[in-house]
Amino acid sequence: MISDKRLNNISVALGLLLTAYVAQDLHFNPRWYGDKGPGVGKMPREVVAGYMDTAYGRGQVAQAAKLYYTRKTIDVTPDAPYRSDSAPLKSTVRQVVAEGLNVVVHHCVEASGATAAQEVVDMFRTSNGRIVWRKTIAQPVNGPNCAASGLARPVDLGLKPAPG
Amino acid sequence: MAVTTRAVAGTTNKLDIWFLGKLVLIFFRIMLGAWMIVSGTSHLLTVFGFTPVFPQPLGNLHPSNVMLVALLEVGLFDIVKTIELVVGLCLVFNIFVPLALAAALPVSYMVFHNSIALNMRYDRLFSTYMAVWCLYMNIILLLAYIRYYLPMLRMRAPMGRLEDFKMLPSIFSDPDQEPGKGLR
Repeated sequence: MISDKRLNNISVALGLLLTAYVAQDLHFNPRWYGDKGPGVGKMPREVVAGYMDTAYGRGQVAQAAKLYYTRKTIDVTPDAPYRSDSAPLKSTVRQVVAEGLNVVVHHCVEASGATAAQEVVDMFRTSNGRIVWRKTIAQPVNGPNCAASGLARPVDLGLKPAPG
Repeated sequence: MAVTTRAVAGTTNKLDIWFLGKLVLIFFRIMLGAWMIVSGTSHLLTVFGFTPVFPQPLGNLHPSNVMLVALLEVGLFDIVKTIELVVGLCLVFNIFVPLALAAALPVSYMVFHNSIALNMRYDRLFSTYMAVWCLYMNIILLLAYIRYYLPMLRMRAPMGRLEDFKMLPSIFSDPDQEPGKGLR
């Protein structure tokens, strides 16, 4: 009826067609197709870094939310500092703890306008390149600026081999 | 089961239950291969700075998130996806299939474990999702090719000799020949 050689040739052709079908099926999956957000396809740390760069670094909080939030994003602490547009803020990241889709950033934001310098812990959960919830814990710096803060003391974060 | 790997030997198939079984197994082989080619290619495109076919899902539940993000961040995902691509090409083009299936098994199990255990989707055990069928198809195909694994399944296996390397060219020999006996 059909030789093995012919069957093999047909199977290779079908395999290539199937590959094309699987590729288009996954490419156009409604879970992600059409979302042009800058965080799509990025790692959780990168998503949060992008958000913080816009929200803090450029002071564009509304724009950051537009780019990185979903319609269902929950802000657990909407009254926390730095929730509205401002002049660009100077923020020094002290530590990032990331586990799975959760990213926690401890950073210090220098004084700006009427707001004194603050030690800030921002917690985020990401999903599909966007932030699905966040909360912020902030406390005033116990010093004139971030460099003088008690939390500026360097600690071993395990990022490099210990000297010696 | 009359599943022969003698794909180039000129055997003529008749329409019977064995041939239908063979067609099912061929479908499993090319389906698993196609899925692995796309999955592997999508990630590797990003490694070289291109847009992926689809963004890599990072799981729904925390244990799955942790595993996938950790694999990506330490670079092991690049190895996993390279294996997927190579295995997929072997399966679709019907070359080195027994080796490809053995190499695919840890990857298939990892995909299955992530989908079922880490995301707690036990209802998917009997579904048609590729995340579970990749393992099912992998195991069924391994059994279909068991004749190639029998030589390594010996309980008592004396160590080989240096001359054994001379048999390496036999990997390209006609499939009608007994495996490993091409130069004897």
